[in-house]
Amino acid sequence: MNKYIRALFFLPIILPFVTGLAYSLFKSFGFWDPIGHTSYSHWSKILFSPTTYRSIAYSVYIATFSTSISFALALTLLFHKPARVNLLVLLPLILSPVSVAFIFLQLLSGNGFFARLLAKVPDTSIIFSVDLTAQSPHGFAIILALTFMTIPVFYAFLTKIAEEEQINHQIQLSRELGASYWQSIWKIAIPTLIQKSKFFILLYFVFALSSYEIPLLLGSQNPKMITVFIIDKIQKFDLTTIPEGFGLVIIYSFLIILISRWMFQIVK
Amino acid sequence: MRWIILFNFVIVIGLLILLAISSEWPYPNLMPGGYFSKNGSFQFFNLVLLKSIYQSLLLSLTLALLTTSIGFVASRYASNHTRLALLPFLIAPIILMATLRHFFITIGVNNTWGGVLLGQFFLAYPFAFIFLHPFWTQKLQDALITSQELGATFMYTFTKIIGPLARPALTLCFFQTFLISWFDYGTAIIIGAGQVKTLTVLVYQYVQEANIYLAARASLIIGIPAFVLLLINKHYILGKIPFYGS
Repeated sequence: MNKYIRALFFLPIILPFVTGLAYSLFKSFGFWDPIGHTSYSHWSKILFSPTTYRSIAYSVYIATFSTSISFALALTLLFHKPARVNLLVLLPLILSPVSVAFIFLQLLSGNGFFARLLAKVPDTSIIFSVDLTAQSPHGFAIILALTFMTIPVFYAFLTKIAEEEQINHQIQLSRELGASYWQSIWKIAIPTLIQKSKFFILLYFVFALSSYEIPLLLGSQNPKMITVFIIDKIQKFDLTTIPEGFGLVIIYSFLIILISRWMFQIVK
Repeated sequence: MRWIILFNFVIVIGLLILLAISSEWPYPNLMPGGYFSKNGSFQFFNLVLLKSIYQSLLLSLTLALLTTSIGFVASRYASNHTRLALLPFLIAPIILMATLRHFFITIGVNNTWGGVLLGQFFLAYPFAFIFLHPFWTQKLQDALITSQELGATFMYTFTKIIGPLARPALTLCFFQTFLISWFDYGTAIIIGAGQVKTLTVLVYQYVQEANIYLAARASLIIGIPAFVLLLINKHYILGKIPFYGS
């Protein structure tokens, strides 16, 4: 009896995921296609087009950079412990991803805040030497926006871990044993914190990989991040690309499952 | 270094607030101008915005109530496979919804309020499930058995033992699921299909219409409940209870 109740409550969690995956598998082979017919051609199109790999690589690049930069900045904030600015650090948490994308567009676009600021600089070569604008193919704007969103989360998590692991005491102890301040931070505090927050870093790596609203507004036309790429294939006007979009969903889900397996191994 | 980071936070939020109350931003000017409009006809809320606020609030509150209550009961029956519940949480909501839209159309809830609620339930329920699972410890189970053996009725046990113990976790879960729904864009745009205009959908629509002042206003309104919740929960977030973000 207990077993059935357990299964019943677990059903809404796993059913949508499995159903969606199965549906996209069928769709990717061209089943229920209004204009095409069943074939492998869509898969060969996906697997042999460089755009697929480029968008996956681009997503991984964005996620890696935004996660590592925000983790590093959160660590910096943690060690320069400010007295009463905790609420200020958590301020980005009040913005939704769409709002963040919108406000970074206003900050970094061609006629945005920073462009106006740089226009006031007399030496114009600075303006052309840095390409920070939104929708540039380097994805700086996306990385900045994602970093802005993740710093407070990492900061909150790291303060908790530091409290649990009694980092303060460890630093004090190592100082008493003769280590310098930087040694005690680089050799003791930071490795402990990284070890303890591996799971959390990977979690936010995946969240960055799965972000949609920010690359939608701040991303370039080519390369696109994988989520935007998939939705464009499924939703836009060309009906012939729909099976390709669902094939990409399979690849993307496979990537997510792979990373989550890694995460579970860390937890063990 | 920390002041540079914090200064950036202030610039971002400050520009948002300034844009929300201004009405013009001609090119060489650094700051937006025309605060509260030049001709004195400034309205912070227009009808579309008010309707959208009402709809989003109703949606998020219903979802939070539904998810927290069902998740609370469900998390008692969580098994070893709880970790699998992370999967729907990791995949991008918009992609999950794009694959499920066919089924939403089949059961006829596409582009309705109920459909968006169902879609967001699929996102928030795993969160509530994971979040509330650590609450049901062996100690609590023992306390429940003891109270039963001492002759307490079910209602008495529920109101006097489970209720007070669960209140902090339930409150936080309620707020978090509220925010998942409040910040959600993917479900509202795919399942809602432009018919269910939540605030996030409205922000994107305003950006596409190049109406940055209304977009900033809608963004600011999205921020207000989140800010209140942040003020209330500050000590939880930086304190004992794990915080997963949204």
